[in-house]
Amino acid sequence: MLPRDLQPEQFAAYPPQARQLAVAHIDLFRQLPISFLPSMLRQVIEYDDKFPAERQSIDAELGVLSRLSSSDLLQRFQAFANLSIPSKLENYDWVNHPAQFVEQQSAYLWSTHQLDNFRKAATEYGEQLQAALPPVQLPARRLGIAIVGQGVEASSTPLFRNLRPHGTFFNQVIPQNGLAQLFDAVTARAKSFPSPYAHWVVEGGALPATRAPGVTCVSYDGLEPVRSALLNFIQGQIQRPGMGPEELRTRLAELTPADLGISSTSDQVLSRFQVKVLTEGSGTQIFSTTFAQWTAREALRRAQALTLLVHFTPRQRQLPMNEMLSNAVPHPTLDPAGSLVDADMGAYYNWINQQRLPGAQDSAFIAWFEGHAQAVVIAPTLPRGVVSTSAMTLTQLVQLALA
Amino acid sequence: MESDSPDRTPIPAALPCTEKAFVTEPELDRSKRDFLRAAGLLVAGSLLPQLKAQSQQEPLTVGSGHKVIVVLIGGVRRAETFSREGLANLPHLTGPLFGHCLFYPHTRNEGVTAHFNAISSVLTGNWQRVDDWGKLAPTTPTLFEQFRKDLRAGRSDTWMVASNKALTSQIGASSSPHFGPKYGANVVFPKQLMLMAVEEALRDGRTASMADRARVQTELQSALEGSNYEGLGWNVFDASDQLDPRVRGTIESAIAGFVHNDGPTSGDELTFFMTREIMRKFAPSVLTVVFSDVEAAHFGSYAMHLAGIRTVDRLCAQIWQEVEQNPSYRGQTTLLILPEFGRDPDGSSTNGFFNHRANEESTRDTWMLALGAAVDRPQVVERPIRHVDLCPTLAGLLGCKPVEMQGVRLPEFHA
Repeated sequence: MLPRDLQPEQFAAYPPQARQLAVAHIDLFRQLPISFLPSMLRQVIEYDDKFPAERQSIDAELGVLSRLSSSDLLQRFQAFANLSIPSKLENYDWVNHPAQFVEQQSAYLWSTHQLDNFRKAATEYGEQLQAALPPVQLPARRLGIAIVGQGVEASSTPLFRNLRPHGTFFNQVIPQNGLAQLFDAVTARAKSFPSPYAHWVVEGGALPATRAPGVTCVSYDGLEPVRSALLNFIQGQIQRPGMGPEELRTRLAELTPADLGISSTSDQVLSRFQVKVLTEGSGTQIFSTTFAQWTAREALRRAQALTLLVHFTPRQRQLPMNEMLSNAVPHPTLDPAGSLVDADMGAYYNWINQQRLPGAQDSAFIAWFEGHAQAVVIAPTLPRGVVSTSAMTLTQLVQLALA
Repeated sequence: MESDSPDRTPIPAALPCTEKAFVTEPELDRSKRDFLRAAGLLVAGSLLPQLKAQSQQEPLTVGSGHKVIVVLIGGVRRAETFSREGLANLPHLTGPLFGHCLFYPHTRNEGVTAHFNAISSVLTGNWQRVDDWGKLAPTTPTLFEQFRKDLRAGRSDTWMVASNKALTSQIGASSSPHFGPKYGANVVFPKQLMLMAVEEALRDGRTASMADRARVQTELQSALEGSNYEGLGWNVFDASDQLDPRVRGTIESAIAGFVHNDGPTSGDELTFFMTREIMRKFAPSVLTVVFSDVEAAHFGSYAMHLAGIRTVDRLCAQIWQEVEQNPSYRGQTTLLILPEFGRDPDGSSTNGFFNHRANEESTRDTWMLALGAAVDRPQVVERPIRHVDLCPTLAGLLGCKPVEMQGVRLPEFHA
């Protein structure tokens, strides 16, 4: 089947809001090439489980395309239409299984030397779309916070080497009560600028017992039962005959929160997010530092967090992979020094990912060596590549970053 | 678990350069001095003639009598290796060894930056574009096949020892109709043996025993004896269901060395011990070694990735030490050390060092270091070379007749 043959009833299996959205745009969909439309449907079919920022993005994209004339659409998607897609894929149920279609399409494009053309077309499409979208107005300066080095007495390597050229390095920070001050800063921003999924805490260990209202919290320890269920699933899958990396990836993509024991009464949008973090990010299941970095990346990319605090905590030391996958070591020993190296790089990547979002020029970022006097603050009002010896609390650093 | 599936996310704009170093940090200064000292030795070119003079002491076997060892290191970026910051991770390669070497700072992978394709491109002299997971053999003849067919060499004269789990025994021979498996190399994956041993111990409830080195040896040997060795993905001497006794002895010696060595017990360590035993028992003329501890990067740990680089730096030096001490190799061997590719740059949409599939210089532009008999004089060759240039160069050193391929011989090597 080709897009031009689409009928409204074919979206009957979509979740309610996704179905409504798809049917409302069926005339547009009918004009799009099959090499492109399933990629869009992959987003649409998950609409009900998307964050508000993602929904706005899908709505805006569909709005831009809907305003184009048929001839403009033809021109805009010509590069996609030029790609050859085999009849086997055309006949695939790409309406109900767009993600699986895209995976097979990717393999086919690679094998037929068309993947570079697809990427070029996708990049150009993305650039044209960005240019057509209205600028995003943020209610406040975006703030990222990374806390690294828990449990480390002294760093054996210079910290924040990648971040320091972009901000001011403070070496006389007053560390007492610093963790609480940073969490309080997130809570205060959630109160001042309330919005669903706008303010996040990503915790590499366990979350505090009391949760701040308006703050979305995800923790490595809190997901222990889910991680355990997932590792058991992976272990079972890799022992099946013929199971390779690609097949395993497909199986993981099909997992739902219920498959991993997450209650149906939980926040389903957040539950889906957590499952994706654990099934799509290599290492998120076994290393808390990787979990924290990847979760932060996805919270920024998908939810476009206005405030994001990431607390890196010590991960387990390296073990043979099968031993880890088997869950055979209930209380593995930790590697604080190695985790600091991971977290230092993770903090840098968090800042990079934050800078991809709207308002990057005005955003602020703080990275702090937990319990110590070293922090770097990046903000449009602060000089770059300099060292400050001013004695300041973490609260004062936040104020400085947001001034 | 990221895929290569089409992504509608636009590629982000390049970020500002962040490579500026804090040159006042003491360890960076020290690394820089070491590097400059090594570079100074290169300019002086004073040490290599001694190595060259030791050649030809051993009887020739087949072809030119020259032996070649290629060490491939998985994916490492310049930023973590041959950069001002990265030198600290390579104390051996940038230390005394560097003064003897031929160094190509720009050695390019212009093909598919996935393990199987990258390695088979090096081995065939053609950019291979087959299945990433090794379901298909390279389409043009490997160095192993060229050597064995052209010079009538036995199978024991060509070996591949690899840690990488993404490889298969298909890496040892091509699907070329004029060559193929009957001219292929022995292929062993020692890490698979280790994984199988761990799996069996877990399955049988013997987990605690894995903390005891003596018991680890028992478990490894049990795994070797208790299974069809082809389950390990190996291909050794064309045996269908049992290992050649000479190979079994070699593996048992390697396991003993691995277990009773006081060092770490990573996959690359076992690969090294297996390599050393094969050098001692079979002295192959063509030996390829693939280390992959650095691939811990796929699991997101930068510290483990750096530890993998430091491990492979040490193991490369130990291989060279074996070359110098082993009469079958001393003075008649050329050793190449190079990464399969780099890794993605910080700021890439693929999460930086985690992966190696961005079409960026960070992923494609790597380096190569050559030591030994074919190196007339130590020098740094700034001219970019390509991975596919290695196969014709090595084939020439071995005395093989030229075969048409995309790569060209590097003039700096002399048989």
